[in-house]
Amino acid sequence: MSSSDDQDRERIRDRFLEIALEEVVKDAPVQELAARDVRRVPRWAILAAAGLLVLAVVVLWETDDELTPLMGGRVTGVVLTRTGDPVPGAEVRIEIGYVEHAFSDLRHWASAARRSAETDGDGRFLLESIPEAAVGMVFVEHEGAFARVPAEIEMEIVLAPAGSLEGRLVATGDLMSQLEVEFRGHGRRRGPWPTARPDPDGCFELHGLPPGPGLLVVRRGTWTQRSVPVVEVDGEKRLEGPVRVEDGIVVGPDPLAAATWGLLLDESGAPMSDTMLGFALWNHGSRIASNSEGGLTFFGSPIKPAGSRVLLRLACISKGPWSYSGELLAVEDRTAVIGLTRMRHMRGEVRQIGGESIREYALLYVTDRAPPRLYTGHVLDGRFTTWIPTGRGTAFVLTPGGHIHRVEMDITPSDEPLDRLFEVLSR
Amino acid sequence: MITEARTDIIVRRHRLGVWRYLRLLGCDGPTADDLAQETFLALMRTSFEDRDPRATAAWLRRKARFIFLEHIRKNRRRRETRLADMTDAVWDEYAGDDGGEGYRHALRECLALLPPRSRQVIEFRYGGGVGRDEIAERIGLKPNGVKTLLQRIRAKLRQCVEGKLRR
Repeated sequence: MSSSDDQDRERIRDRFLEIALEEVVKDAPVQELAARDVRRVPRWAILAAAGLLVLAVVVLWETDDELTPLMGGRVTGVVLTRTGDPVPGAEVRIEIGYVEHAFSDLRHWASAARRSAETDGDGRFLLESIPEAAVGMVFVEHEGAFARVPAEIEMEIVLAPAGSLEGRLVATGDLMSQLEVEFRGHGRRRGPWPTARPDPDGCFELHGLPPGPGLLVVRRGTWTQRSVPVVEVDGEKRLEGPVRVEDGIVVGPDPLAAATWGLLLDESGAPMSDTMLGFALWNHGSRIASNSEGGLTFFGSPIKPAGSRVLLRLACISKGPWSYSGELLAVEDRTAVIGLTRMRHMRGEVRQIGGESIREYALLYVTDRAPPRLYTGHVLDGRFTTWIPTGRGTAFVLTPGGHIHRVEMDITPSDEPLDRLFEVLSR
Repeated sequence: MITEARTDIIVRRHRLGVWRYLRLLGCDGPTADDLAQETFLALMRTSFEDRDPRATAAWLRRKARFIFLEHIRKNRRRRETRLADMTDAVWDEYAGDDGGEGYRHALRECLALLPPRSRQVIEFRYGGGVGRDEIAERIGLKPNGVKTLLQRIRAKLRQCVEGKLRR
């Protein structure tokens, strides 16, 4: 921080004061203010409060590993390519959990939140309004390039390059020249999805794709001719053979009908067949089932024209012994990729964290594909039980005493409970 | 798209906060008026969801900041971008939760604690817009003395207000 920065900051603080003075003095003359009764806090109360504040700060800062909670209300940093060039216009998102009051019931005071910002021309970003002593992960996306790193107060983030997809369409007559392909990944995204036109032989390449599986949508003008799943194996996106497109058979969207066609995928990108899905659309909810290929058709509000933005809030669903969890997602152009995350029952053992006996806990779980989730509960005889999303994620355990512990996890789907996950926390 | 009635409620609740924030970013009064109006017009044009006043205030501040920076870019004043970042930090520190109401409340209490002459100088300067030379004449100081006195009073007020906000 240069002295010029310090001087500017002081000038802004002075300016804040002067603007406030103009308002306050014009509202009520200062002489009147002087006549009002001003409550004075006893000196002993000030000293006691100061003592408690110092105690609270000490407790919040103490951690049992190298994890440092975020302090100061902000996270700043720079986003770079692998070659070290700054990345302007990248979307930076932080997903955090925090305990607002160190001595209260965690169920009432633990919260999860999400903040986002965009990098400036020098690749720098600033995330603000971060609650004190929060912990979490930062996600960065720019034209498919991606990064996922634990949050720190000052960060340098290097993006992994974007994915690509090669494929071939098979069409009859002059249909090929009218077709366009588009890749759609899971969840929300700012801006359009990547598109490409096939060459006369039907071959196409899509670049700048986000990580994970998705849906290849083949369009003819504003009509969707066909949608097929794209799987990802070892970071490489693949299609199952050439995509056949036939003239005259349109699977959607029909501009005259307010219906949405979707594809239901599990966390591995595989279609989920015969699965009941509960959803809320604006002010009404309903249940629908996917067909044998994971396809869905559901009808939205008839007053919404085709192609407009629709928000779906998916409820938890169940299939067999497993629970699934969805998220709020935007469905545009009436074609949706709905990625669901299986939940796994987890049993853990915790005795102490950093010398603190644990009777209750808050568990923040951050994954690549779903909003942050916060679970709270009690520890009985050193054991606890909870549900947790499968797939790769980071767990932050927050305790009433302000201890924080981070565990990287990759949980496979199973109906067997997961045991001893937090054994590492026992001291 | 939010309804007109809802927009009206939002405007009434957040108008002052947005205007003050724009003033703090460096706008003069009329510019802050214009940009605040643009901010609320942007609100009406988007598919914004009014979930709670705090989130709405944060959204409006972000939008106002964006509109302010667009305004600055047109004038090619890059330094303001850095100042805007600092302003945000100061805003969060002083007014992040309540649009500056708490700060002003604390300021009223601190003003009441000033000695009579200091209160009088503040009232001349910020209540009546009296110039430094005229204040000097009224209270029998040299103009430079008034400048120093005002600096000292402001420093004292800042210290007092910041102490109250930290509590």
